[in-house]
Amino acid sequence: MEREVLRFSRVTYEQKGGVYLRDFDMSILRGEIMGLLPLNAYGLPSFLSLLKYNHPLYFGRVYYMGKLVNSWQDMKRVPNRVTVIGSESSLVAGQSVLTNIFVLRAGFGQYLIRKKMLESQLKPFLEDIDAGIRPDMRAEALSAFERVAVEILRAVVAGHRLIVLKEVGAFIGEDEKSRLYRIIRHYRDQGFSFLFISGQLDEIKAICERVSIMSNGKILNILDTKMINDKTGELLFYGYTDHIAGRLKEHKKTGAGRSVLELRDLNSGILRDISLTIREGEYLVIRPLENRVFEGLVSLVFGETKAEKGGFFMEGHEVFLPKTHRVVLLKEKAEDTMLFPDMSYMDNLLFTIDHKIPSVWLRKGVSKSVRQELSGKVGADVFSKSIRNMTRKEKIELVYARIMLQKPDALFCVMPFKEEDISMRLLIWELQELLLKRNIAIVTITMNLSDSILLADRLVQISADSGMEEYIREEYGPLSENVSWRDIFRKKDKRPAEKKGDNNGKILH
Amino acid sequence: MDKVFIGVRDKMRFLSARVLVCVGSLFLLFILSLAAHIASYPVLSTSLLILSVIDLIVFIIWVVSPFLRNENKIRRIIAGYMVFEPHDRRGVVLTPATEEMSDTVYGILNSDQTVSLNKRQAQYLALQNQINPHFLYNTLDGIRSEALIAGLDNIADMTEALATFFRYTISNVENLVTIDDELDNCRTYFSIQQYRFGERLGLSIEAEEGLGRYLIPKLTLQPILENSIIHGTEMKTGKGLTVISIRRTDLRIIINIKDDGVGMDEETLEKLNRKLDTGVENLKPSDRETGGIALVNVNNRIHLLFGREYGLHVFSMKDLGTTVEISIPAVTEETRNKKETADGA
Repeated sequence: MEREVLRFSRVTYEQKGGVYLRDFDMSILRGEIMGLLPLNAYGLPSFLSLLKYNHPLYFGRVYYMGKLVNSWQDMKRVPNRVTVIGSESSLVAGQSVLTNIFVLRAGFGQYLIRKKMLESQLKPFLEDIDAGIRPDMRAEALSAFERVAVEILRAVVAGHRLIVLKEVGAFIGEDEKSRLYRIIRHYRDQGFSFLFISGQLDEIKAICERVSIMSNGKILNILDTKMINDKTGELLFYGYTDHIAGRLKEHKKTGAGRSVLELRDLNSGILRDISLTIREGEYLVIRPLENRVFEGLVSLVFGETKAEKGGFFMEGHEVFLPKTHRVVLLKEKAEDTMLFPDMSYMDNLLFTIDHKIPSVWLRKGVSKSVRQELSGKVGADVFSKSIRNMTRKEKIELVYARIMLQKPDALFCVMPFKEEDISMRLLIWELQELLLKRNIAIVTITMNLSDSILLADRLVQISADSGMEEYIREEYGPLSENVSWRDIFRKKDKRPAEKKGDNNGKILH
Repeated sequence: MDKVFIGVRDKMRFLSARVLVCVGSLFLLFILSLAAHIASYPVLSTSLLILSVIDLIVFIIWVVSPFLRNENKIRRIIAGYMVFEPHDRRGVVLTPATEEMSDTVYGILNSDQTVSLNKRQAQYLALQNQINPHFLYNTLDGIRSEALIAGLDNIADMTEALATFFRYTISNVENLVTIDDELDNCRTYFSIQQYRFGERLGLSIEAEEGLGRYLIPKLTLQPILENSIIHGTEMKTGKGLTVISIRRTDLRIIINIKDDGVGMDEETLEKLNRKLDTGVENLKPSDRETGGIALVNVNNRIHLLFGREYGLHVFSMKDLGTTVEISIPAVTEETRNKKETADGA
């Protein structure tokens, strides 16, 4: 007899007049890794919040560990012992792994902390997961993979029988993914259940037994991952697949233009001798294979650390990227980090072109003509909206519209498709294509190749051990089993991928 | 004394009585507190004031909270959810009149006539094209004999299957049968359909051992299998497979009837699941066209027999097949008899 760890039975959830979950029906068994593939993000935050906190339901029932924990009729609710692990760390910075796992958990009733004893208790767990984590390591010193492993351990120690992993593939390196999957399977075999949320079907296929397809706050279908094939993927991402096919036909090979930015012999921390030339209008994807490489590179680009040797050069002159108008840097979740909520739409749009048009704030004609030009694309209403009241789509459009007006030589963006649903991924993709058409080079730094690879003219993989490897478009096919849409490239190219020289003809390492 | 206590307890089930008690005592405490204040008894006045605050807290817990629960229930009923509960599970109600009204509605919804009506409707659905099933059954038997005499084994087998199907459908007045009985009926129905579709149709039954003895409302699986063939696999080009899988969890028995047919779009799926949730739209003529009537009927009978926490849910996507999940409690003949004996005692 199987045991149901979680059961959402015909749950309808309303909040402030909006229906976020409708007839939501899903169950997870003991020792099961269930996948959740959201075709759009609608209702997903509400589901996760309900899962943890048992908010009042409009209709339906929720069972956890065989007990009715929430019902539309019942008004007594207590939070469920469920762990949700996402891109944001829930560990307490400044505290060790040991403290985070044992001391800071609810129900730890000891007044005197016997470190030696706790360490000996933690030791078998750390040996189990074999992730190279020491009990005295500080939370902030952990890589993304280590952090996820520690959060899983903390959930296991706290006895949380259901662990939700939200888009972990987006911020964990390719090699680390297989290690994480090993940890998940280890605890699955011990009776823990996992809900693995990902927008990438390949990731779900690699680890889950079943997958629930979610759209507009409903579970549309539950599929057995063994039965999923390429045709299923095409049917699931119907519009998206068509779009991809169309775009790939239209894709023009770029990268032969003038050089707009050079990374010359960059050395910093574990990054060694990174040399790259970025050309106008090209799309370059840099894929760090380990989290520490990713963090090192991002902090270099954003000027948070200084290169020990080498640097960024434009037309022969060294530049500091955050300070130059000719390069735009976009962090993850650009709509949250790149907009000023207290400023108006127009001010947010125009404030980066002051170097091009002096006294832009005083020239009403400029804002009027910009408004006229953009209203056809983004709608006229949006100009009077407060940033706080704008939808995510409108915010993303605003960020990219600003870049288009600024017209830099290059745009660096960090994981632009991270945790985005298909409609948002399509939108970002289209906006990036508009930039490419204006000859703006785009450099995407991402650990997850899905989506970015479709636009990329070149791909550079950086690893702490093997250095830098560069691939041109025709060589993407055999790259990795876990890259979405790889079949598109496989059809084109049957040759094996091999180490290539850079665009200057030098062999890099 | 006991009688008085029971009488008071019964009266306090009504919010109207609770409001009267709370407001009356609050008013009394306030007057007394005021009088004590005027008569310069500060300690007494303060004590009475504290008692008033306690009374107010009692009012919130004892009156406001159940009131909100009742309000929620009424809103769901307005929205179409038939959420009437039996007398002993109803908790606090608004007034004696609303209690009587709930009793009457619950009685109508759960009467033997309603259960029979739904069952008869299920039989009607299964035999909707037949004027007189008994006459047809007898005729089929005759045809079978003639076919055997003429050496037409295929026709004889097909007629026998059809006769077995009708016999199961029109006999056995019990509401509950075993899962094994239902699966047999599905196999019979499927063998009839196979004469029509040949190799184009496939059926696979996956059941954990020992689950066949659990009870299920009669004519639950066949109408869903029929739906799956007619609206799913029949419309598909190429071969189609329907899988019936049965498993038991600690909470329930789950029966999935899954096809790899044409599926349905999000909007149709939402409408169908909404019908299953509310269960009030089963008599609309348009349902016959969309094929939802059989599912709503099966769902209604499960609700009537086992309660609203069980029933049907449909999962489907265009071109990715449809799964109907049936959720029922794990009841066997023995556990049912035991329960009935205990209830009788």
